[in-house]
Amino acid sequence: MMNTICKRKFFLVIILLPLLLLNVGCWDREELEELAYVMVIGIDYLPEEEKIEVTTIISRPFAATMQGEGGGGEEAEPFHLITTQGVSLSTALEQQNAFLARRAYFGHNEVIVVGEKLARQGLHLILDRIIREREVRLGNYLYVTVDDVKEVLLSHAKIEEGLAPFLSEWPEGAFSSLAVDMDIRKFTRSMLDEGTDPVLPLLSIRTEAPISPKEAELRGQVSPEEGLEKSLPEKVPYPQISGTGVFKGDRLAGLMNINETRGLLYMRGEANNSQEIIEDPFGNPGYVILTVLRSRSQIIPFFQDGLPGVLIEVAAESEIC
Amino acid sequence: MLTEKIKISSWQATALLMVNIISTAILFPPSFVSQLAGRDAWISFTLSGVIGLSIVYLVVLLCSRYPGLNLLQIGEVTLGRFLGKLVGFGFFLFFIFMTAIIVLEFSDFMATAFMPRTPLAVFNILMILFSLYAVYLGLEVICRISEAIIVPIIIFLLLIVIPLIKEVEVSSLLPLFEAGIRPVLRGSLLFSGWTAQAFLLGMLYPHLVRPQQAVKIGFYAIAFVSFYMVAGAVFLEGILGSNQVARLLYPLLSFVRLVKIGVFLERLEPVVILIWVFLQYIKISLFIYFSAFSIRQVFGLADYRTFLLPLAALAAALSLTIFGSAMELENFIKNTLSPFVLFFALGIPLFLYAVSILKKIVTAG
Repeated sequence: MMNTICKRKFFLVIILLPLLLLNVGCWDREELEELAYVMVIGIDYLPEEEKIEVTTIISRPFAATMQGEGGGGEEAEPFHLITTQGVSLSTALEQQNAFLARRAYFGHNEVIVVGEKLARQGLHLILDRIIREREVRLGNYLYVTVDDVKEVLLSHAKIEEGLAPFLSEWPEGAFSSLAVDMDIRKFTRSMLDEGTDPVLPLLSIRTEAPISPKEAELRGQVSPEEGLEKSLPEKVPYPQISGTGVFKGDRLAGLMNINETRGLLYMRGEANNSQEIIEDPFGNPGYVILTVLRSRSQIIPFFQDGLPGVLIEVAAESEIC
Repeated sequence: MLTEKIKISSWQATALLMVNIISTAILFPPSFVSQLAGRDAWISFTLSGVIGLSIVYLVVLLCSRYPGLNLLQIGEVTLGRFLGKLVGFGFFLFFIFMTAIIVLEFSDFMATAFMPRTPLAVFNILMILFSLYAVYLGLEVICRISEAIIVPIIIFLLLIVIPLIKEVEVSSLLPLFEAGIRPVLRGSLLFSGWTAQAFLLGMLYPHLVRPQQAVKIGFYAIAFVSFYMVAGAVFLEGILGSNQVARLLYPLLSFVRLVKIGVFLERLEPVVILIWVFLQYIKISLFIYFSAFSIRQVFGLADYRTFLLPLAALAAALSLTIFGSAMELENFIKNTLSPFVLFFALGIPLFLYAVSILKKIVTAG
């Protein structure tokens, strides 16, 4: 009896010893301070060189904490941008290692911005690589932009700290009445499924001064005689949502402005928070403004005189405000 | 001698069968069945459940004619000593090969999805070493761990499914049978390689406390597995779409990674993967146990533990050498695994049953 218990304990120890190896994570151990956290990936295509250009926003957590302590010295941006080029997305990302002592980590990436040239060329150039990447999640938000991807990534978001939170919180945030929200999963799905084609929210930059002239005057920062333009702070680019990019398969086919997007949202049954203006139903002068709370749509295909047509029925529930 | 004392309650046997099938069913089948059956994958899973049930029924029918004997012993009784031993040795080969395949599936999953730089041998050898401890302690212990793990599985299934319910587009399940019934049948044939593994009930049968509940045990286990896979297929179809599912290697993993509870609770996959690894641990233990058990049976040894270490070494070596690459493993699972399992799960029990009926007729006449 004693013998078997001893034998068991010996066996147990022999088996538990290799368990220690697992604690250090074997060959795939990662140290938090040895990773470069990519927040946003911007990808565009260079038609002349037939190359993919990748810009990543990499978080600099040290810069953020130094500012918090009033660290002094130079005021560092909490982000760092790297732009590289390569024949494919993989090779372009590989080039980034030239500027990084750390391994680029995509697990915290939440947004991918695609340039117009790449979108017109077809997202097949990058999509497969992104979906097969073991760190990138299918929940990453996708945007398309007609402006230069690098400039978009350099732009400052209002209120939010940087571009990444602006673009990743925007779809969950208040105004989904301005554009569709799209992540990799939804995009790939409507690209692959028969009968649907994907759309992406359109991103553009608007250059303006951080404070409006009127505000500056009120604050007494400028005297009217000096003239506004001279002493106003320098103009800065801001990102803004400005419509929808419509795809055919994986290629960008056209653009929609905000008003057209509103119609698209009604068709998709996603027009929430949308403001609708109607004339007063009792004939009084003035308007009634409705806020759509939820909407549903139904698409009914039919044939008329041998021609196919579609009837879209939209039912919306609104609130008068 | 030791094995005669093993007593397994009905609930433990059910949990063991559930864990045994589910553990590897969550890896490749969602993607592979989708590749064949498209959006009708859930019908395929239901049909393979039916195949599994009929195998359970057959095995129980066979075993109830020989109370107190397991499949291997029944083989020796019906076919005589030499042929019976041959069948027993065939089962031993089946179990040891399955062990190697399951171990490789596990390590391939870990390497592909999380730890690409770690050599497969590390996963294989560590996993087999850990399993050895469970095997050393015996079948009852393996049953009890599977009993313990089955409740967390159900809880986490609900936990990951509920936040995504509103995203499911049920309408994308229509139309049914768009490409006819053939692809659906091929999909169900592929997955019946998993549900057929419920034939292990024939190995557990003599140890059951209440053998009269054997059909019920098999039914609940298969029903749970089919429900799990059908629910998984519906969710994958409704959220990712079958075209996308077919292109992903581990669609359920991608699905789990999508889950967000509120705005603060995301990246839940380590918890889920922990459970998956545990499931695979149980399955590997079970198959090492049965390979040791069948070699004991064939050579008439007193204790199945005698050859445990050599068997483990053999399984580890096989798992590293039988497939040259992950692609070969995937191809094998896609094309060969189902017939391979069905031969042992359906073919041999059916043969034994036919022989035993014939024998009865001959002796009566």
